[in-house]
Amino acid sequence: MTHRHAHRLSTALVVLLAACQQVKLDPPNKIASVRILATRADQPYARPGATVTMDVLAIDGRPTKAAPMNVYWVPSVCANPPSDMYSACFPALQQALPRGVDLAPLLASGTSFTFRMPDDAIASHLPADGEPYGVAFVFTIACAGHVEYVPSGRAAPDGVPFGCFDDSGVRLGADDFVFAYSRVYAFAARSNQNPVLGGVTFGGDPVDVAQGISAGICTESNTDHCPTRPLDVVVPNDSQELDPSNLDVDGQVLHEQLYVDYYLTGGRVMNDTVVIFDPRAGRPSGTGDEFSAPADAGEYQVWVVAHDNRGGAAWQSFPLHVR
Amino acid sequence: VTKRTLVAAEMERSAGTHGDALLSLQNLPGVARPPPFSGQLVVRGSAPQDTNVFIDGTNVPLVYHFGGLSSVVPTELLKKIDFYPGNYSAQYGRGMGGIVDVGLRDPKKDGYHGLAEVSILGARALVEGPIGSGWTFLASGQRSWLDLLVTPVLKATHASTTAMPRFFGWISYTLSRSERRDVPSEPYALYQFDQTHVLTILGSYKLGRGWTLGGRFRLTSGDLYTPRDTGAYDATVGSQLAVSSFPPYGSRMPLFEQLDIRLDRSFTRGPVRGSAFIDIQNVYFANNPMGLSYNYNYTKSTPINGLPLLPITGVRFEL
Repeated sequence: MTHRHAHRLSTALVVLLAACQQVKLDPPNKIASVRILATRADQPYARPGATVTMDVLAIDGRPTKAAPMNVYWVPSVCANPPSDMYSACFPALQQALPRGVDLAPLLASGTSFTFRMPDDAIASHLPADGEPYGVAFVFTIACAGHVEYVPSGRAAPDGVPFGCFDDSGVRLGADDFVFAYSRVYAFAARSNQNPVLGGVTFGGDPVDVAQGISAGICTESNTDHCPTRPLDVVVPNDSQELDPSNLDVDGQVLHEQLYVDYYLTGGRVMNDTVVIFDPRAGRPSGTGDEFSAPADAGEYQVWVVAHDNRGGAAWQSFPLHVR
Repeated sequence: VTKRTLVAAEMERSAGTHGDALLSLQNLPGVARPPPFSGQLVVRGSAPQDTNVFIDGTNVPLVYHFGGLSSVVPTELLKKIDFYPGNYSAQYGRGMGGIVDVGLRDPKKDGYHGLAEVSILGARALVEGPIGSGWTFLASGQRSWLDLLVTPVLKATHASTTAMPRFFGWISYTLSRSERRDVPSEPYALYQFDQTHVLTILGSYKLGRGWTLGGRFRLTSGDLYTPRDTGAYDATVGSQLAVSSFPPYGSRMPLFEQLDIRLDRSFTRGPVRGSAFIDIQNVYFANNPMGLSYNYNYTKSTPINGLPLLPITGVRFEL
């Protein structure tokens, strides 16, 4: 038995033990709090000097809402931080932002944000292997209160330097606050289009996103035994572009990878993430997911987010009616 | 120089080791309880890779397999086990932890011998004897069912030609503190494998008529871990990141406690010697958290507990 096999075995056994724990944690795609699910740039690969518009898919899934959720953007993008690390942008924020005050007047608000890719985005980036590039980090905040700057300090250098506070000054937790970052790359010639999410199918039938889908409640005491119905996405083949940075051993240019994340306020899907286009094989068979309904009747919501592995994204949402 | 020489006849009947003499090393003073299923020796708070194991002078990097539940050398082949928890000779080369120097015996020359053993989770066999002109041979093999069951599997071995005393056992307590720093400008902090307190109470008693009863109780400091908190969300990929607290491994799990019991029955029928045993780990089902499992945004966690109650039984025949 090699070290690799021993490691695999020990990992499998530890995972097995973890699976046997009594307390079940909610899956990551269950929406029950303030969430940012994705951002989308109209140009995932932008030219230096180009104007880029970002959109965010921010959800307020809290069952009770003491205050509305607000979405903010840090107005100054962070270009080419050391090692392309988002947390390396934080020292600059420390100098630019006051402490202990509501930052709303200093932040951009709304679900869209526009910025200009710096003219020297590529030139100011340290030389790297392959095609010269630059990267701009854009920071988005979803907060059910007001935002203040809170330096994270040495104890957590990659800690989030913002906090969300209610009207009485109490700092809110992760159910009411999300801090997200997005990367937008700058290339002189390369381009990338967002994937095209043409639709969703449920049980093999196209979904009208305005009408949504309907399902009966699951009556099984063990949710693993709930009946399932296939849930899939419609993404045209030409949505998978060539990725010039992805070469096989023969130097052949491969395609980008596309995957889909499913999020729900009720019910569940078998896989949180499903690969729908493989860089080498294209669209594999069985890209669909398996949906099972919740135990309680009611109105729920489903979000489907398609990503490519180069910063592109697209999403759709539709209601789920459970009888 | 601290040197402890182990007697296989005692080691192989230690509760919780399934008759594996090399596994008994984990009961000695200065040796900490290893991470679950790791098959590692943690000596005086050093990293497992800092302790070297030599078998007849050859360094063996991975002396335990099957998830650390069994050693690669049959107990019957062991002649001696010298254990140096520190300050050992330069002949053993580089190492910051301990040294285990295992010596193997020669195959028997007085005729052909063999053994076969089957337990609920594995099987093994050994044959040895002379082949003329002063030559001897020994062949041994084992097969665990672990890959088939995907559950913790233990291989069982026991028996020896060495006489065993009516009672043996010990109480060992180790007080140690392992601190390191990555660079001189940083303060010292607890090292990942520190177990400040390690208490081991071990004993085995021959009841008569072939029955032997043994037990092992361990009470040790909990494992160190690095707490995690909510970090930034990577909206480009769709992935929630964690923030790890500083310094790493700054928090500790609750105390580890475990009682293991072993019952053996030996018998002889003509030229065949047989034995059967049952070895029960974690008799009173202590939970023993080994780590934490977090939810997607690191706001909730649940402990990952160690082995549940684990009974292993087996039978062996030796010629």
